[in-house]
Amino acid sequence: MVSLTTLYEITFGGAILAFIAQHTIKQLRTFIVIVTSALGVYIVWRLPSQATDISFRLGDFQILWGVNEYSQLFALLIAVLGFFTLIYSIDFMKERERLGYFYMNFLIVIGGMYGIVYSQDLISLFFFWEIMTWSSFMLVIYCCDDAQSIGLKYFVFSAIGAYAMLTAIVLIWANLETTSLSVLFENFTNLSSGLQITVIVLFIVGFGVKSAMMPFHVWAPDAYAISPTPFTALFSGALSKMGIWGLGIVLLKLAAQSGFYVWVQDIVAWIGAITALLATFYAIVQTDAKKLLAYSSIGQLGYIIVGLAIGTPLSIMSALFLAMLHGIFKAMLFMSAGAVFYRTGSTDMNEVTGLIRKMPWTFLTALFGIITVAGVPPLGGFAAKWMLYEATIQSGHYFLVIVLFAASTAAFLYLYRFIFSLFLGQEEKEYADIKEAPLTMTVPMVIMALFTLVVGVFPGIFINPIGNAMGYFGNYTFNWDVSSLLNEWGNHVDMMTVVMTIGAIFIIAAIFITIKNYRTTRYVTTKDIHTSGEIPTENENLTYAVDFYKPFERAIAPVLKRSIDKTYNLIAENLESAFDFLRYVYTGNGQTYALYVVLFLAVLMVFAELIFGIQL
Amino acid sequence: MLHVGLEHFLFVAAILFSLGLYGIITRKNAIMVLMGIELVLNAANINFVAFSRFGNYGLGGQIIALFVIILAAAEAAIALAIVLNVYKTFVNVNVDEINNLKE
Repeated sequence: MVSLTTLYEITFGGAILAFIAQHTIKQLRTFIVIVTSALGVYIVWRLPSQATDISFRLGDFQILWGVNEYSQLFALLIAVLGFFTLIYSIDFMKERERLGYFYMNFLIVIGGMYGIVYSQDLISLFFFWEIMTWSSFMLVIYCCDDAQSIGLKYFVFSAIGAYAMLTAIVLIWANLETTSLSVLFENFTNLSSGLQITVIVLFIVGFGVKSAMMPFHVWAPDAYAISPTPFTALFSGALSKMGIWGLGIVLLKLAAQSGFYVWVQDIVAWIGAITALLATFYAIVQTDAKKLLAYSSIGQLGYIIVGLAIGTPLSIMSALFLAMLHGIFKAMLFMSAGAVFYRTGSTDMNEVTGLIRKMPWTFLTALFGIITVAGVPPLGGFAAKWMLYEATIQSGHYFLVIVLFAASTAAFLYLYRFIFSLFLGQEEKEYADIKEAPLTMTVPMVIMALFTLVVGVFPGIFINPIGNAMGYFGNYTFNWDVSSLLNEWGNHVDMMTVVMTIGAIFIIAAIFITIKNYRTTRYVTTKDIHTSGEIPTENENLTYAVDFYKPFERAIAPVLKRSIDKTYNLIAENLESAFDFLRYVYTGNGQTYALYVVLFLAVLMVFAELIFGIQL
Repeated sequence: MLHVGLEHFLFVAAILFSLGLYGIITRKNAIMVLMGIELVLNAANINFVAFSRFGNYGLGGQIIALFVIILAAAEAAIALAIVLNVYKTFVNVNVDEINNLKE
């Protein structure tokens, strides 16, 4: 029973059943949703051993679905993240309205993503891509005031990407008469070089929109911030990886065969690096936790794009490693921000403060998340960053390394701001009665947090499946140990030792600080301070996180001023005024239109001979 | 003795058509616009019949002219009904003032 068709039937069927259940027997809804996603995990896990490729004809097109190691890697991420985010959503979404709509679209997004990674031809790829876009759009506009305009922005950019992709597919069909991916890979060099570069650029635009590559990233921060948090975790964790999945195929399967490979590599790598740097700058100046994480997400995707673009085995490995890891830690971070939102009703970092004693597990998740993002040794992020830097240096992209390193260091600033302003700092009186988030929310978070620790100690559990997945791109052989990292100079980093050492230092420091300050520690609130002898009033915002990085903000103000978002708005405004003259033509007066009809007829008669060759 | 040929009929039809068009485009009163439309339709009818009579096309032109007359009657009935309702609601039938459906 384990096959691709069952996977699709269960996921899409579960979506419809969840919608029906919401309107008939509400108690069944949660059960259906959880069982559907759990079955998804099981089927995806069992697929490689039993699945046979499915192929059928649809009109002129051969539809092919099949499993390979590369798609398997992404499908597992989707399945596991989908399962965790759905468990998380049980309590998070309990009080909300229109849950049938929410869960139906949620499961359709998951099903659409399965479809993308398992499709072996361009038609079903495009079909599932559109399913994913539509249903994620439905979830972006699920809630809140300005969701409509944000959703529109998301949709317009998705449409640009989708049409770029469709154009490429049509070009391929017109010239090679095939839609199968494997045939395309074999015959790609038969295309003329102009067509090759056109197809590559169109595909990069198509997939770049979803992976929030720099000129097309403007939809991402708002869409991530406004969508309901369980979905945001999946959105940033898995959905953006679909772009990465596609970019991997385009860069390593198509572009690698063309004569422009060096150019494509350098340009895409630089776009990725600039994305990483600028997104980090934007993340630093955000005051809303979810927006901060959204920009951080764009930045991390920039790293992944760099890794894919450089194209050496090590860099591909680091990119895929980071892609998998990013799915997990960004879901963790969004979930912890969501848990804070669930209890306090806000993710504004100027308002919420000092939650560490109230929400210890959420704090733990956030701490593990930011350590992983920062790439500091004990957790999984270290292995990913280590490999990426080494691959970049090894392939001679020295300036790229400088940019990446600057971005990575600047990332510490926003990560610190995130954890400090939400969890540390003085306590606020209005949050005195906050409790820890319910179990359905903390358990998935903590499981994933522990998983990042496991990946940090044994990077091999990621490296081995990724090594298999890279077989899709060519014959790369890896001899990685489960718990050590190698580099080209023959050194190897034993992760066990690193983790033990850092763990020991951390525990000793924690014990030392606790003992030393045990008696003198005093918990203060934000109002418990002296402001030149004056007593602060109740409504003054004295949260420590207000204007956290003011000097830094001032320093990077010139960069922030020229936001790409404003450029797009400027283009839109100019277009609007350019088409303003149409208002003079279409007056809305029927008599004017009657005049136009007659004038058009007269013109036709005058030029009939010229146009149609009719002798009057 | 003046010989009445195809050109004369076409000439009359063209004048009628132009008058009707003038009425459609310039008049504010919806009823005048409707009358203009009737004129245009009648001009077309004259053309049909004239071509049928002089152009050796059999009776097709006359038949189509009959159809057009029936259509014109139906159109006039519906349009006048609309105009009456519009008058009841807005107390005038000036086409340039009744643009509530425009937005």
